[in-house]
Amino acid sequence: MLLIKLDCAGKKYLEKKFTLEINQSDFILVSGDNGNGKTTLIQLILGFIHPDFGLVESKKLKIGYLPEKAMLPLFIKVLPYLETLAKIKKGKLDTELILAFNLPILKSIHELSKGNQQKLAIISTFLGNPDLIILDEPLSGLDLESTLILKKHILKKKGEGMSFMISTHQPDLFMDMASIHITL
Amino acid sequence: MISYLYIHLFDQKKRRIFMISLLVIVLLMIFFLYTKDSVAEQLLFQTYHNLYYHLIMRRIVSFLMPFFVTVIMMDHDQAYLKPIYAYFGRKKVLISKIALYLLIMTWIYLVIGIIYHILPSIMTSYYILNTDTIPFLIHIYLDGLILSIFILWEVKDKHKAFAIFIPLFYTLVGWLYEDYQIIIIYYLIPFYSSYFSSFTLAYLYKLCYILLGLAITTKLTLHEEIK
Repeated sequence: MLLIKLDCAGKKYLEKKFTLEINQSDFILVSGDNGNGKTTLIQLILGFIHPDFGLVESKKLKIGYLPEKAMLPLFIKVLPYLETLAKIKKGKLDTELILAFNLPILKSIHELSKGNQQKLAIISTFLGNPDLIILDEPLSGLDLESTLILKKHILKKKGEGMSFMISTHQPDLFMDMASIHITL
Repeated sequence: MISYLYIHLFDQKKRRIFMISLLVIVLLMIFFLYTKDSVAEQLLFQTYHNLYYHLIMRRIVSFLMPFFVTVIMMDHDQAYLKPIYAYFGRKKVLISKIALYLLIMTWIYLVIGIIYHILPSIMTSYYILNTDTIPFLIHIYLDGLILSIFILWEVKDKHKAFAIFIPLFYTLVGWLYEDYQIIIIYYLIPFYSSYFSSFTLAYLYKLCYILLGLAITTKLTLHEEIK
């Protein structure tokens, strides 16, 4: 089932034009040097920016989005944050992932380290029942153990039929899972 | 969704600022209410005292409330709403955001209205309820909604410091209306004016102005680029 289609979509400030189809259960890996348009591609897919050329066609989707820089409300504790988010997304807290990441749930978000904030942002992204998950630099700030936990979790969700798009500077880690690899 | 936005946009730090601002307004009211006159004197000059109270309080409320509204609303555009936009869509988030701020504004103005009446009732012997106060408070509330729309429309995360110009502009327009009753300017910016606001149609005009503002803000917000 087709979720999103980009047909020669691009921005004036970028030389590249994107043609891409994202289907259900796809795993799209995006890699490339800085400034080559990875984030622009993601923003076009999310509908945050409009293409100056070409078309972006999309169904009404629920997209779990992890931005490049973790964007979280700072003055709230981890557990109430996750509980409220799970409630409005009509999903359940993934206690397995929380425990695996060893996240201090009773701390306020501003007290968390960069790595823990990234883990929290990742858990938030998986909450609910998204049709597509877009992870922009998910490994930023993660140690090796957490990286492997994340990979295992992505593999599990992929098995359940979830679609993924991952933009990373370390594509080798996800190469075995990718159905499409875009190098910009 | 509203409760989720509430804990984000109205976090502990913000709630503290809100309570302090409310306290400042109450303390200012107490300062101007305090009188050394005896009960007999207060009752003897009741009309004079009442006139003074309402005049001063109206100035304080109409001067401080725009700043209060700005402090509460200036953080409405936050980067951490991006994942929420991606999941729920902009429309749902925007509607919830508007509903949340409408609730907060109504609550604040209700509290101010109650304090405006309760405080002198407790602290003085001269206070009598002036029926002119109710239209004034309604106008100030509608002004608060107009300012909220301006802030939703204009103030974005990257340049939120400029939000301070909005209450300053409100104050300047208020001063202008004190000396000049130019109806064209009132049509463009229907902020409280003791002259224009006495017309019954002023309420209706402000309501239409608010609805039009909301429609324009919604249209622009749904189509703007999020970077």
